[in-house]
Amino acid sequence: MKNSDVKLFALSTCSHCKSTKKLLDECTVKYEMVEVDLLEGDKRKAILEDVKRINPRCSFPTIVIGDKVIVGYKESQIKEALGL
Amino acid sequence: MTFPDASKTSPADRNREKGGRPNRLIHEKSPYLLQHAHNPVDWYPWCPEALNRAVQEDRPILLSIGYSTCHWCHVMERESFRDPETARLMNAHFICIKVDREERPDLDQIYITAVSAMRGSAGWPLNVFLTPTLKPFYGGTYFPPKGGPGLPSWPDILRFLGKAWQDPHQRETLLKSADEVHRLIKRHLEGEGGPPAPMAPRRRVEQAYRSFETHYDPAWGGFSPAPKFPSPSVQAFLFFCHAVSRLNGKDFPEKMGQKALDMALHTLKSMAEGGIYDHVGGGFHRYATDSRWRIPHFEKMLYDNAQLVCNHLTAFQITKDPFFKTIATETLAWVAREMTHPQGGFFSAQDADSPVPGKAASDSSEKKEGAFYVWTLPEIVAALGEEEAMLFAAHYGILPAGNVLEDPHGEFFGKNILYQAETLQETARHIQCPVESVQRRLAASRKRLLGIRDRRPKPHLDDKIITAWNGLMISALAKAAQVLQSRDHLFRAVKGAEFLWRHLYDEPQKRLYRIWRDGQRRIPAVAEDYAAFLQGLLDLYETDFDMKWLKRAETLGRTLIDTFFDPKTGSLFMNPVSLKEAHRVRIRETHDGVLPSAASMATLGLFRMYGLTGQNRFRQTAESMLHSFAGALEKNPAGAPFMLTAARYLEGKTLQVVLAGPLKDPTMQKMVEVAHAAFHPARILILLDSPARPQQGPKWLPSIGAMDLANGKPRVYLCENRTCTRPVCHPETLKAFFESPKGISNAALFENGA
Repeated sequence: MKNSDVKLFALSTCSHCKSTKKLLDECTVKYEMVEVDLLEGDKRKAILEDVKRINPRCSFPTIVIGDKVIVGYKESQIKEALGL
Repeated sequence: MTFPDASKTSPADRNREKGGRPNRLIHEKSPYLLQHAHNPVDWYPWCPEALNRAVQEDRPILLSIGYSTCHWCHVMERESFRDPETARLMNAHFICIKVDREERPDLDQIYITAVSAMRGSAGWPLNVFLTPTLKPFYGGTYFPPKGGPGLPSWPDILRFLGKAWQDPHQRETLLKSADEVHRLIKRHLEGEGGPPAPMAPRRRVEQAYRSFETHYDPAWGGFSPAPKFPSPSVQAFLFFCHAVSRLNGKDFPEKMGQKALDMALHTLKSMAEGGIYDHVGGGFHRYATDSRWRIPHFEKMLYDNAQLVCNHLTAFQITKDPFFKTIATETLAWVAREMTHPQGGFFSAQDADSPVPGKAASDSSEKKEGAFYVWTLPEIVAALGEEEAMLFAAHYGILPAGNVLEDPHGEFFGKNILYQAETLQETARHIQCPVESVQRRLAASRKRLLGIRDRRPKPHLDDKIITAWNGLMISALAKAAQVLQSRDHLFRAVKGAEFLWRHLYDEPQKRLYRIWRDGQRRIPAVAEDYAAFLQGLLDLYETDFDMKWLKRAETLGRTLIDTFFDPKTGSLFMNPVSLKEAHRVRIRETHDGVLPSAASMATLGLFRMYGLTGQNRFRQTAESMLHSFAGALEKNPAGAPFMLTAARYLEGKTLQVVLAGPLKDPTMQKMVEVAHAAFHPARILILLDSPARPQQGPKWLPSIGAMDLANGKPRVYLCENRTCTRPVCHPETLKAFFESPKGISNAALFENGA
């Protein structure tokens, strides 16, 4: 899998997002992270629209791994999607 | 306020006045045992001395179990145990042991199972005959002093069994049957053993719901024909179903969720309007003998009332109907007035029987069921005057000839048991008077009658303090403090919890005791004591957020696991896993009775401990205990409704609410109020109120690491199902989150600036 396929939508304040970040770091996975609450204006709006499309409840963390979307810090599901 | 002085009021004392010489039970503290302390029977309490004597003298044991507010226990005491000739027979053939079932629920459970196995049913008084090795060979409940056709008398039984034990051939038969019964109860109580198979709780929740729906009485509520018991666990379960259905119709269908709510509310309302509720003094009696909840068995138990208060508060949270709030408040007022030790602990129960007002109080044979609570119409007229009495009589169904129609023993002839015969609106219409004024006048009348009733001879109060039951009452008061925002209820909950910690917890040994009375703690706690107190402490933490409660809960949680959890079978036992008692029967409860089972309470408690501390041991133990119910729930899905309310935690769908900010801040107070007002099926509340907390926090509250307190502005962090929303900054938004059935989406939180 190409590392660029992993994307983490998070909030800077959210404990489960932190745990997810830690897990991805430990697995030495390269990923792109967006902390949505730190964005402003149109940029935030656009990202929120993206998140809503893949997770209508718009809760965090939302993790995209290839074509899989995982909502929440679900360790085993994340590892499985990463092929670990 | 007066408190009973046991040395003046105990039945033992009244017997002494009659000249009965005390037996060994005089040194006990249990009011039930003291009621037998002047019997001519050579009673022992359950103690090594008695058990050893049975072995040494090769004599069978007569084990007699009951409790102090049990009507038929009193009858048998009066008819048989006081009688010198009967006592002579008992003393000649048996080592006689008396046990208060409230002190020793483990022994009670073992021997009631034995009698059920032998006879198909059982109850109290429970009389069981045991070999010196504690295996039961014969038993029953109440035995009359004189027999009838096909019905042996108590002396017949004593003579027959005494003789049989002497005869080698007959003894062999008794021993064989004792072995058989012992094997049976051991298998029944300890379970099959082996690690349990995981179960899908969601399916069981639906099955349990369907079972309650099938047995529901649409006319009067409740889930059985008469006699009707309050079954608080069932209502709690139905509220749970409703709340889950509102969160997600996939987890529990919404239509069924609405029906669940309707059944729970209707049952609570029917009870509160019926005679099972004490309309003058507050509080619920133990059960109703009729299907309309009109004719109660009049004893009042602390555990029923604690749980029913919780359920009424939940009903109020969901419906905002002040009716439920009133019932909860009145019941807690009764607890404060009559059931609270000056130092804060809560007494166990009030008896059903009391001396008939106006008759000589010295003779206890004059006692009558419900005498304290019932009224004649002339009494009401004398108390309230003609006009108020007519209003009161119409509302509470009082009739000149008495209102107890189903009265097979003629106990209530000419008497009235108050029940709400008309709604306030109906009464107001009849007398053409505004509802508010009717309400005011009825309240004044009730107050007047309460004053008059208090001058009647009181029912006996069982003033021993039981840890498990106190834990339930602490939960009820904590919940009242949360939902009604009342400092007074919080104060009482704190006082109760401090009482238990000071008097029933042995800090150096890290051990809890079960019973306290008259300045002494006795009897090591069983699992339900740990579990109920743990639950009370967690509820208290979520009310005033004092870390002290959390630390105490953690200590109890660890001891609970170390002492009662069996890793081999993955289940919780009622008595210590490493038990040393001679009968060596361990008890695994797999259903929720009048109290939820220890395992059910412990499972919920440990899941919550995990949510607060992140310690995996708590979660793993809780999961294992829930799965250990799989077999029992497969056979009978409705058998453990309280356990099923832990399903949400098992699925990881816990809502974690972290309130961050200084408690002094008015916005913060409003946020706490909003969080307390809402009902949620699996919620953990945490307060983070000072920058110092995050540093000391992680050991206790590891999940709060990411949350920031820097600017001191109140925020609420909401996490559910391993995801979080954006922090909420306004009480109104938090309110919207709890009120909108599906929660509130993050997008909305961004849009309105949270």
